[in-house]
Amino acid sequence: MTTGTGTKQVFFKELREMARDRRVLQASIIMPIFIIAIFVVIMGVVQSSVSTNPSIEIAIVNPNDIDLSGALPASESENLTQVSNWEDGANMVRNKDVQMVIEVINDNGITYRIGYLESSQLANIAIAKFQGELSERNLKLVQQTLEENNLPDQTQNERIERENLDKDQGLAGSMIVSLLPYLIVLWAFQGGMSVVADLVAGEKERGTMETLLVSPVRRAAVALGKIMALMVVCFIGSLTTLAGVFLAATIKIPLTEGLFPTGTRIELTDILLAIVTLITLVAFFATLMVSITARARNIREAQTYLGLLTFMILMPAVFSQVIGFTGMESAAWVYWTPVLNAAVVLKNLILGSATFNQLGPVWLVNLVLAAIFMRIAMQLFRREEILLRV
Amino acid sequence: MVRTEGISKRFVDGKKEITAVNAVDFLAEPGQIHALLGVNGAGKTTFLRMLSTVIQPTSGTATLNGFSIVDNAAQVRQSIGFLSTSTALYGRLTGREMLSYFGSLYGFSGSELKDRVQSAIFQTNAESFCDQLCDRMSTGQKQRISIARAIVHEPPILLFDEPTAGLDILAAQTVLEFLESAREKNKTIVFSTHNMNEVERLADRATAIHQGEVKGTGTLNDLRNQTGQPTAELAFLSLITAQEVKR
Repeated sequence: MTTGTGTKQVFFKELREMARDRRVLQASIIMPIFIIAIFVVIMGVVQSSVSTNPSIEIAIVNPNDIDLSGALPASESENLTQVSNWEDGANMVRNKDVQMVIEVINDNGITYRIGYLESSQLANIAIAKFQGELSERNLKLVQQTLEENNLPDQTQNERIERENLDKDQGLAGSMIVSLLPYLIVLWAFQGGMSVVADLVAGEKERGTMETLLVSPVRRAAVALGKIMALMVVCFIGSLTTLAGVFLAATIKIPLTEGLFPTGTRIELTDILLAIVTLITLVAFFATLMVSITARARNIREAQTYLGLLTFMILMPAVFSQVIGFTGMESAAWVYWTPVLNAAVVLKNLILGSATFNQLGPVWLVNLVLAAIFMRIAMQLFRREEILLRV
Repeated sequence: MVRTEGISKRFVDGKKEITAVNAVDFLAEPGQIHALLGVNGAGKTTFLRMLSTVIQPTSGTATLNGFSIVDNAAQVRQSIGFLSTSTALYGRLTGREMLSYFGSLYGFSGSELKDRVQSAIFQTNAESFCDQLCDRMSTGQKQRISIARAIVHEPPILLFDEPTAGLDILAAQTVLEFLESAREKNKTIVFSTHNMNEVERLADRATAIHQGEVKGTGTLNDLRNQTGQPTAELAFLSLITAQEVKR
């Protein structure tokens, strides 16, 4: 008997058992689709809220001292509350009855004293809009004065023209693009986590490990068969996440109309490259999980190890969401950092902007780590502790 | 045939070294049922695990069917049918799938595999439930599938570790009947047990192990004569108590 034949038997047996395990069905197929559907709805609601003017409540001190029309972000009169002094307005801000208080001070020019809570995102948006609209109004006043005095208007000499240079891929226009890679990576791990404790620690606990090791199949083949089966589950978990997003876009869930403004088209090449990237990633995850849980005495101990491992996997994955704000997205080290690199490069693939200079390190890192953890797992299987540590 | 010479196993637990099996000489021959007697922790399971090659002896030698457990582990595994203390089944496989899986691990495929599986099912009277998921079987049914799993490759040697532990009287009866039928087929059978009734009924020879060492071996008559006791149970107690007294 060769190592290869034993691997095949173990692989197919594990797949058959996993296919009958409700946890696999739930964690790798049903939950990703269900959670993605909820996630897409939430994102749709957020996007539609952000794209419309949020309702901002403002308290105004001395409103009659100056004409504020056109300068306030909330033009509706019901959003404006007149207060007699600054302190009353400030208290309303602190009590979160209004987002900001504006006091108009007319003393050698006009000063707008604004009180707000720095922690309030809505107040920050309101102030930014207020400043922008005030600048616009001042510009109009300058232009009007120039015109009245027959002076040349040079205020329009400098203009801004915005052009989106993203590759023309459907998801480029969607808010979901920054979170999708994180979810794919997360579910590649989560899908495998649902069954890995059962794969080795569970066999020890049930006593089947002993009968398996008494068979003539080599221990390395047993480890390899189990790792390959786990890779399939991890891969299904990540693909289901991706499929969930495309499904949500296709069946047009209510409230999500604005989330996919330009469709969901992705180049076939990018899809294939994403699949290759995922295969290397799940190879890393599967070998890591098996090598960790093979040390456990029982399922409960294995789950404890996995809990700690989840935290280590989540950190770089979470960072991938905000790395765009740091300016480090193009730094070389990002593509050499496990997990983070996969999430970033998957995002780039979805946007059609990934290069082989980015993909190469990601694949290399994942495969090297997979080889290291594969070796560790096989060494553990060769040791007596794989059986005796129960 | 199963033969060991001075076989020992020592484990290291932190700074402490534990001798689980100490210099055991043992012989079991074809067509015989050899009972391994011992209290919990006596070293029976460790001894059987060494014979099944899942753990390596620290010293000494053992041959099964002429193959060394150290140098020819693969051939030894082909030669033995091993039954552990637990029923050790995959709950989400049917009995037949379980047997096919293990048959394939022993290198069988196609019609030969099917024939082997069917034969194992027939020998253990498991036809009526072998297509159920193992999780849905009774303890007795599980034990029959476990035995079928151990014999699916038709090994000449059977190593059974407490095969009736936890079974009700009917299920235990099935196991004992199977061991008797295996003896008729000239198999070499080694089984460990606490149950002296089973020993009286089945064993052609017995070896008493206590604290990892052999305290007596031979036919039941030999042991009774050696200790001057009328029953196997008293003979066994006498053997291990004498050892306690000596210490």
